Amino acid sequence: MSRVIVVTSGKGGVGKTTVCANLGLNLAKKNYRVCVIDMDIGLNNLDVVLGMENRVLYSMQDVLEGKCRLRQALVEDSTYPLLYLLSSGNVAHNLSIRPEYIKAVIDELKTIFDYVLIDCPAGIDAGFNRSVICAEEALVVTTPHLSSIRDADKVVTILSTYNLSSIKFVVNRARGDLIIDKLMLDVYDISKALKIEFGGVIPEDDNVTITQVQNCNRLDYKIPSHKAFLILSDNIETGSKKLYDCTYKYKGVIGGMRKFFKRKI
Amino acid sequence: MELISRLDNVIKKDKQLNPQYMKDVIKSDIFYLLNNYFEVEYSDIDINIDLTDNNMYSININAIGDRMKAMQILPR
Ligand SMILES: Nc1ncnc2c1ncn2[C@@H]1O[C@H](COP(=O)(O)OP(=O)(O)OP(=O)(O)O)[C@@H](O)[C@H]1O
Ligand SMILES: [Mg+2]
Repeated sequence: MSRVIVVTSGKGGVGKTTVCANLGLNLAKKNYRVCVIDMDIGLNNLDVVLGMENRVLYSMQDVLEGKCRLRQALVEDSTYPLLYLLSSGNVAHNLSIRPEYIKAVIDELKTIFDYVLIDCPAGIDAGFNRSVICAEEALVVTTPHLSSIRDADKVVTILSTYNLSSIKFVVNRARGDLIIDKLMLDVYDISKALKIEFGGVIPEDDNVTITQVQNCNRLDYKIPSHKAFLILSDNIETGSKKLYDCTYKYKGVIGGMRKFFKRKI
Repeated sequence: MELISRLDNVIKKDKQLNPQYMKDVIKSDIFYLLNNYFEVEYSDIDINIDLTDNNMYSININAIGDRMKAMQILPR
Protein backbone atom coordinates (compact mmCIF):
# COMPACT_ATOMS: atom_id res chain seq x y z
CA MET A 1 0.00 0.00 0.00
CA SER A 2 1.26 3.44 -0.92
CA ARG A 3 2.10 6.00 1.77
CA VAL A 4 1.99 9.78 1.36
CA ILE A 5 4.17 11.60 3.89
CA VAL A 6 4.54 15.35 4.15
CA VAL A 7 7.82 16.66 5.56
CA THR A 8 7.12 19.93 7.30
CA SER A 9 8.37 22.24 10.06
CA GLY A 10 7.43 25.42 11.84
CA LYS A 11 10.63 27.29 11.31
CA GLY A 12 12.31 27.56 7.91
CA GLY A 13 15.79 26.27 7.20
CA VAL A 14 15.72 23.47 9.74
CA GLY A 15 16.31 20.68 7.22
CA LYS A 16 12.99 19.66 5.62
CA THR A 17 14.49 19.36 2.15
CA THR A 18 17.53 17.52 3.46
CA VAL A 19 15.36 15.05 5.39
CA CYS A 20 12.99 14.56 2.47
CA ALA A 21 15.83 13.91 -0.01
CA ASN A 22 17.71 11.51 2.25
CA LEU A 23 14.61 9.65 3.31
CA GLY A 24 13.77 9.24 -0.37
CA LEU A 25 17.27 7.98 -1.20
CA ASN A 26 17.24 5.43 1.60
CA LEU A 27 13.79 4.11 0.83
CA ALA A 28 14.71 3.79 -2.85
CA LYS A 29 17.86 1.94 -1.84
CA LYS A 30 15.63 -0.48 0.05
CA ASN A 31 13.91 -1.18 -3.27
CA TYR A 32 10.80 0.90 -2.73
CA ARG A 33 9.46 3.04 -5.55
CA VAL A 34 9.68 6.57 -4.21
CA CYS A 35 8.52 9.93 -5.55
CA VAL A 36 9.68 13.11 -3.83
CA ILE A 37 7.67 16.24 -4.58
CA ASP A 38 9.05 19.71 -4.20
CA MET A 39 6.10 21.81 -3.08
CA ASP A 40 8.36 24.70 -2.15
CA ILE A 41 8.57 26.36 -5.53
CA GLY A 42 9.71 29.81 -4.45
CA LEU A 43 12.60 28.47 -2.45
CA ASN A 44 12.78 25.01 -3.95
CA ASN A 45 15.96 23.08 -3.52
CA LEU A 46 15.03 19.45 -3.69
CA ASP A 47 16.22 19.17 -7.31
CA VAL A 48 19.56 20.72 -6.33
CA VAL A 49 19.97 18.60 -3.21
CA LEU A 50 19.37 15.51 -5.34
CA GLY A 51 21.60 16.85 -8.13
CA MET A 52 18.74 16.72 -10.65
CA GLU A 53 18.33 20.43 -11.36
CA ASN A 54 19.42 20.19 -14.99
CA ARG A 55 17.01 17.41 -15.79
CA VAL A 56 13.75 18.96 -14.63
CA LEU A 57 11.77 19.79 -17.77
CA TYR A 58 8.17 19.67 -16.65
CA SER A 59 6.35 20.24 -13.39
CA MET A 60 3.07 19.29 -11.76
CA GLN A 61 1.71 22.59 -13.02
CA ASP A 62 2.46 21.52 -16.62
CA VAL A 63 0.66 18.24 -15.95
CA LEU A 64 -2.39 20.10 -14.66
CA GLU A 65 -2.31 22.48 -17.60
CA GLY A 66 -2.23 19.52 -19.99
CA LYS A 67 1.23 20.35 -21.35
CA CYS A 68 2.61 16.89 -20.56
CA ARG A 69 1.72 13.53 -19.07
CA LEU A 70 2.48 12.86 -15.41
CA ARG A 71 5.15 10.31 -16.28
CA GLN A 72 6.94 12.90 -18.43
CA ALA A 73 7.24 15.23 -15.45
CA LEU A 74 8.91 12.61 -13.28
CA VAL A 75 12.71 12.80 -13.19
CA GLU A 76 14.58 9.58 -12.41
CA ASP A 77 17.55 9.68 -10.03
CA SER A 78 20.78 8.59 -11.66
CA THR A 79 22.07 6.57 -8.69
CA TYR A 80 18.86 5.00 -7.40
CA PRO A 81 16.53 4.32 -10.34
CA LEU A 82 13.52 3.74 -8.09
CA LEU A 83 13.69 7.35 -6.89
CA TYR A 84 11.87 10.04 -8.86
CA LEU A 85 11.45 13.77 -8.40
CA LEU A 86 8.35 15.73 -9.30
CA SER A 87 8.75 19.47 -9.30
CA SER A 88 5.51 21.18 -8.38
CA GLY A 89 5.87 24.28 -10.55
CA ASN A 90 3.78 26.93 -8.89
CA VAL A 91 0.90 24.79 -7.70
CA ALA A 92 1.51 25.43 -4.02
CA HIS A 93 0.97 29.16 -4.39
CA ASN A 94 -1.06 29.51 -7.58
CA LEU A 95 -4.52 29.95 -6.12
CA SER A 96 -6.25 29.24 -9.42
CA ILE A 97 -5.07 25.63 -9.12
CA ARG A 98 -7.46 24.03 -6.71
CA PRO A 99 -6.19 21.74 -3.94
CA GLU A 100 -8.41 18.95 -5.32
CA TYR A 101 -6.44 18.96 -8.57
CA ILE A 102 -3.19 18.55 -6.69
CA LYS A 103 -4.75 15.77 -4.68
CA ALA A 104 -5.83 14.03 -7.91
CA VAL A 105 -2.20 14.03 -9.10
CA ILE A 106 -1.05 12.61 -5.78
CA ASP A 107 -3.72 9.93 -6.04
CA GLU A 108 -2.34 8.96 -9.44
CA LEU A 109 1.19 8.89 -8.01
CA LYS A 110 -0.06 6.51 -5.34
CA THR A 111 -0.85 3.99 -8.02
CA ILE A 112 2.76 4.11 -9.24
CA PHE A 113 4.83 4.56 -6.08
CA ASP A 114 5.22 2.92 -2.66
CA TYR A 115 6.15 6.22 -1.04
CA VAL A 116 5.23 9.77 -2.01
CA LEU A 117 7.24 12.28 0.05
CA ILE A 118 6.15 15.91 -0.04
CA ASP A 119 8.70 18.62 0.79
CA CYS A 120 6.51 21.31 2.30
CA PRO A 121 7.28 25.04 2.16
CA ALA A 122 8.13 26.76 5.45
CA GLY A 123 5.30 28.60 7.21
CA ILE A 124 1.63 27.78 7.46
CA ASP A 125 0.05 29.56 4.52
CA ALA A 126 -1.64 28.20 1.41
CA GLY A 127 1.46 26.23 0.34
CA PHE A 128 1.50 24.43 3.67
CA ASN A 129 -2.18 23.67 3.47
CA ARG A 130 -1.92 22.34 -0.09
CA SER A 131 0.92 20.06 0.93
CA VAL A 132 -0.69 18.72 4.09
CA ILE A 133 -4.15 18.24 2.64
CA CYS A 134 -2.70 15.66 0.21
CA ALA A 135 -0.82 13.68 2.86
CA GLU A 136 -1.73 10.81 5.12
CA GLU A 137 1.21 11.11 7.50
CA ALA A 138 3.41 13.99 8.63
CA LEU A 139 7.01 14.26 9.68
CA VAL A 140 7.80 17.48 11.52
CA VAL A 141 11.45 18.50 11.35
CA THR A 142 12.90 20.56 14.16
CA THR A 143 16.36 21.44 15.38
CA PRO A 144 16.99 20.96 19.11
CA HIS A 145 16.75 24.72 19.74
CA LEU A 146 13.93 26.22 21.80
CA SER A 147 12.75 28.54 19.03
CA SER A 148 12.49 25.72 16.52
CA ILE A 149 10.75 23.33 18.94
CA ARG A 150 8.30 26.07 19.86
CA ASP A 151 7.37 26.56 16.21
CA ALA A 152 7.20 22.79 15.72
CA ASP A 153 4.68 22.63 18.56
CA LYS A 154 2.45 25.16 16.80
CA VAL A 155 2.63 23.17 13.58
CA VAL A 156 1.83 19.93 15.41
CA THR A 157 -1.31 21.56 16.82
CA ILE A 158 -2.36 22.69 13.36
CA LEU A 159 -1.54 19.29 11.85
CA SER A 160 -3.77 17.61 14.40
CA THR A 161 -6.77 19.34 12.77
CA TYR A 162 -6.02 17.53 9.50
CA ASN A 163 -6.94 13.99 8.75
CA LEU A 164 -3.49 12.44 9.33
CA SER A 165 -2.93 8.93 10.60
CA SER A 166 0.46 9.72 12.13
CA ILE A 167 2.46 12.79 13.14
CA LYS A 168 6.08 12.19 14.13
CA PHE A 169 9.05 14.50 14.53
CA VAL A 170 12.68 14.37 13.48
CA VAL A 171 15.40 16.21 15.33
CA ASN A 172 17.95 17.52 12.88
CA ARG A 173 21.38 19.00 13.59
CA ALA A 174 21.71 17.40 17.02
CA ARG A 175 25.14 17.83 18.62
CA GLY A 176 26.26 14.97 20.83
CA ASP A 177 28.93 17.06 22.58
CA LEU A 178 26.30 19.54 23.77
CA ILE A 179 23.67 16.92 24.60
CA ILE A 180 26.10 15.01 26.81
CA ASP A 181 26.70 18.19 28.84
CA LYS A 182 22.96 18.97 28.97
CA LEU A 183 23.52 22.09 26.91
CA MET A 184 21.17 20.82 24.23
CA LEU A 185 17.83 19.04 24.54
CA ASP A 186 17.77 15.42 23.51
CA VAL A 187 15.08 13.65 21.54
CA TYR A 188 13.27 12.38 24.66
CA ASP A 189 12.99 15.90 26.15
CA ILE A 190 11.58 17.13 22.85
CA SER A 191 9.17 14.21 22.58
CA LYS A 192 7.81 15.02 26.04
CA ALA A 193 7.27 18.65 25.09
CA LEU A 194 5.70 18.01 21.70
CA LYS A 195 3.71 15.03 22.98
CA ILE A 196 4.31 13.04 19.81
CA GLU A 197 6.62 10.16 18.91
CA PHE A 198 10.00 10.65 17.32
CA GLY A 199 10.85 9.37 13.86
CA GLY A 200 14.57 9.83 14.27
CA VAL A 201 17.49 12.05 15.05
CA ILE A 202 20.11 13.37 12.61
CA PRO A 203 23.41 14.74 13.87
CA GLU A 204 24.95 18.03 12.82
CA ASP A 205 27.34 16.83 10.14
CA ASP A 206 29.40 18.73 7.57
CA ASN A 207 28.94 15.77 5.24
CA VAL A 208 25.33 16.87 4.70
CA THR A 209 26.65 19.97 2.93
CA ILE A 210 29.63 18.23 1.33
CA THR A 211 27.45 15.50 -0.21
CA GLN A 212 25.19 18.19 -1.67
CA VAL A 213 28.08 20.27 -3.01
CA GLN A 214 29.76 17.26 -4.59
CA ASN A 215 26.46 16.43 -6.15
CA CYS A 216 26.69 12.78 -5.17
CA ASN A 217 23.74 10.92 -3.77
CA ARG A 218 25.63 7.79 -2.95
CA LEU A 219 24.90 6.65 0.56
CA ASP A 220 27.88 5.72 2.66
CA TYR A 221 26.81 4.38 6.04
CA LYS A 222 30.20 5.09 7.57
CA ILE A 223 29.22 8.77 7.46
CA PRO A 224 27.30 9.65 10.67
CA SER A 225 24.44 11.58 9.04
CA HIS A 226 24.00 8.90 6.36
CA LYS A 227 23.77 6.24 9.05
CA ALA A 228 21.25 8.36 10.94
CA PHE A 229 19.13 8.78 7.80
CA LEU A 230 19.20 5.01 7.32
CA ILE A 231 17.87 4.55 10.86
CA LEU A 232 15.21 7.19 10.22
CA SER A 233 14.13 5.36 7.08
CA ASP A 234 13.98 2.06 9.01
CA ASN A 235 11.72 3.72 11.57
CA ILE A 236 9.47 5.15 8.89
CA GLU A 237 9.38 1.87 7.00
CA THR A 238 8.72 -0.46 9.91
CA GLY A 239 7.47 1.78 12.74
CA SER A 240 10.52 0.85 14.85
CA LYS A 241 11.87 3.36 17.34
CA LYS A 242 15.61 3.11 16.86
CA LEU A 243 17.76 6.12 17.53
CA TYR A 244 21.10 7.20 16.19
CA ASP A 245 23.32 7.91 19.21
CA CYS A 246 24.85 11.34 18.60
CA THR A 247 26.73 11.22 21.90
CA TYR A 248 28.75 8.02 21.40
CA LYS A 249 31.74 9.90 19.95
CA TYR A 250 31.96 12.04 23.07
CA LYS A 251 31.87 9.34 25.70
CA GLY A 252 34.94 8.11 27.62
CA VAL A 253 38.37 9.72 27.87
CA ILE A 254 38.99 10.04 24.12
CA GLY A 255 35.43 11.27 23.66
CA GLY A 256 36.02 13.89 26.36
CA MET A 257 39.10 15.13 24.52
CA ARG A 258 37.21 15.20 21.26
CA LYS A 259 34.52 17.27 22.92
CA PHE A 260 37.11 19.63 24.38
CA PHE A 261 38.73 20.28 21.02
CA LYS A 262 35.44 20.61 19.18
CA ARG A 263 34.42 23.44 21.49
CA LYS A 264 37.83 25.13 21.27
CA ILE A 265 37.73 25.44 17.51
CA MET B 1 17.21 20.75 33.60
CA GLU B 2 17.06 24.46 33.03
CA LEU B 3 16.60 23.98 29.29
CA ILE B 4 13.74 21.55 29.83
CA SER B 5 11.85 23.91 32.11
CA ARG B 6 12.40 26.80 29.71
CA LEU B 7 10.97 24.74 26.88
CA ASP B 8 8.02 23.77 29.08
CA ASN B 9 7.38 27.38 29.97
CA VAL B 10 7.57 28.62 26.41
CA ILE B 11 5.13 26.00 25.18
CA LYS B 12 2.75 26.53 28.08
CA LYS B 13 2.72 30.28 27.56
CA ASP B 14 2.05 29.90 23.85
CA LYS B 15 -0.88 27.66 24.62
CA GLN B 16 -2.40 30.12 27.12
CA LEU B 17 -3.00 32.75 24.53
CA ASN B 18 -1.07 33.54 21.49
CA PRO B 19 -3.62 35.30 19.27
CA GLN B 20 -1.79 34.60 16.02
CA TYR B 21 -1.40 30.96 16.95
CA MET B 22 -5.04 30.72 18.03
CA LYS B 23 -6.07 32.35 14.77
CA ASP B 24 -4.07 29.85 12.74
CA VAL B 25 -5.60 26.91 14.53
CA ILE B 26 -9.14 28.25 14.25
CA LYS B 27 -8.57 29.16 10.62
CA SER B 28 -7.57 25.65 9.72
CA ASP B 29 -10.63 24.26 11.56
CA ILE B 30 -12.97 26.69 9.82
CA PHE B 31 -11.35 25.88 6.49
CA TYR B 32 -12.14 22.23 7.00
CA LEU B 33 -15.67 22.91 8.06
CA LEU B 34 -16.46 25.26 5.17
CA ASN B 35 -14.77 22.99 2.67
CA ASN B 36 -17.56 20.50 3.22
CA TYR B 37 -20.04 22.94 1.76
CA PHE B 38 -18.17 25.45 -0.40
CA GLU B 39 -15.13 25.65 -2.60
CA VAL B 40 -13.05 27.93 -0.45
CA GLU B 41 -9.42 28.90 -0.53
CA TYR B 42 -7.49 28.92 2.70
CA SER B 43 -6.25 32.42 1.97
CA ASP B 44 -9.81 33.70 1.54
CA ILE B 45 -10.61 33.08 5.18
CA ASP B 46 -10.01 35.93 7.52
CA ILE B 47 -10.23 35.65 11.28
CA ASN B 48 -10.04 38.43 13.81
CA ILE B 49 -10.05 38.08 17.55
CA ASP B 50 -10.23 41.31 19.53
CA LEU B 51 -10.48 41.95 23.20
CA THR B 52 -13.43 44.22 23.98
CA ASP B 53 -13.40 46.90 26.68
CA ASN B 54 -15.18 44.64 29.14
CA ASN B 55 -12.64 41.84 28.58
CA MET B 56 -14.76 39.73 26.28
CA TYR B 57 -13.56 38.32 23.01
CA SER B 58 -15.01 39.57 19.80
CA ILE B 59 -14.50 36.87 17.16
CA ASN B 60 -15.04 37.77 13.53
CA ILE B 61 -14.81 35.26 10.76
CA ASN B 62 -14.98 36.36 7.17
CA ALA B 63 -14.83 33.91 4.32
CA ILE B 64 -15.38 33.99 0.59
CA GLY B 65 -16.46 30.85 -1.23
CA ASP B 66 -16.38 30.29 -4.98
CA ARG B 67 -19.07 27.73 -5.41
CA MET B 68 -21.39 25.72 -3.26
CA LYS B 69 -20.60 22.03 -3.33
CA ALA B 70 -23.24 19.60 -4.49
CA MET B 71 -24.55 17.68 -1.51
CA GLN B 72 -23.72 13.98 -1.54
CA ILE B 73 -26.71 11.82 -2.31
CA LEU B 74 -26.55 8.71 -0.25
CA PRO B 75 -26.99 5.45 -2.13
CA ARG B 76 -30.11 3.54 -1.22
N1 LIG C 1 22.25 17.62 9.84
C1 LIG C 1 22.80 18.66 9.21
N2 LIG C 1 24.11 18.97 9.43
C2 LIG C 1 24.69 20.02 8.78
N3 LIG C 1 24.03 20.82 7.91
C3 LIG C 1 22.73 20.59 7.67
C4 LIG C 1 22.04 19.50 8.31
N4 LIG C 1 20.75 19.49 7.85
C5 LIG C 1 20.63 20.51 7.01
N5 LIG C 1 21.81 21.18 6.89
C6 LIG C 1 22.05 22.35 6.04
O1 LIG C 1 21.16 23.36 6.44
C7 LIG C 1 20.69 24.11 5.31
C8 LIG C 1 19.17 24.16 5.31
O2 LIG C 1 18.67 22.86 5.10
P1 LIG C 1 17.37 22.59 4.22
O3 LIG C 1 17.42 23.33 2.93
O4 LIG C 1 17.17 21.12 4.16
O5 LIG C 1 16.26 23.26 5.16
P2 LIG C 1 14.72 23.53 4.84
O6 LIG C 1 13.97 23.32 6.10
O7 LIG C 1 14.30 22.74 3.66
O8 LIG C 1 14.74 25.07 4.45
P3 LIG C 1 13.52 25.93 3.83
O9 LIG C 1 12.60 26.24 4.96
O10 LIG C 1 14.19 27.16 3.30
O11 LIG C 1 12.89 25.09 2.76
C9 LIG C 1 21.28 23.45 4.09
O12 LIG C 1 22.40 24.19 3.66
C10 LIG C 1 21.73 22.08 4.58
O13 LIG C 1 22.86 21.60 3.90
MG1 LIG D 1 13.40 23.37 1.82
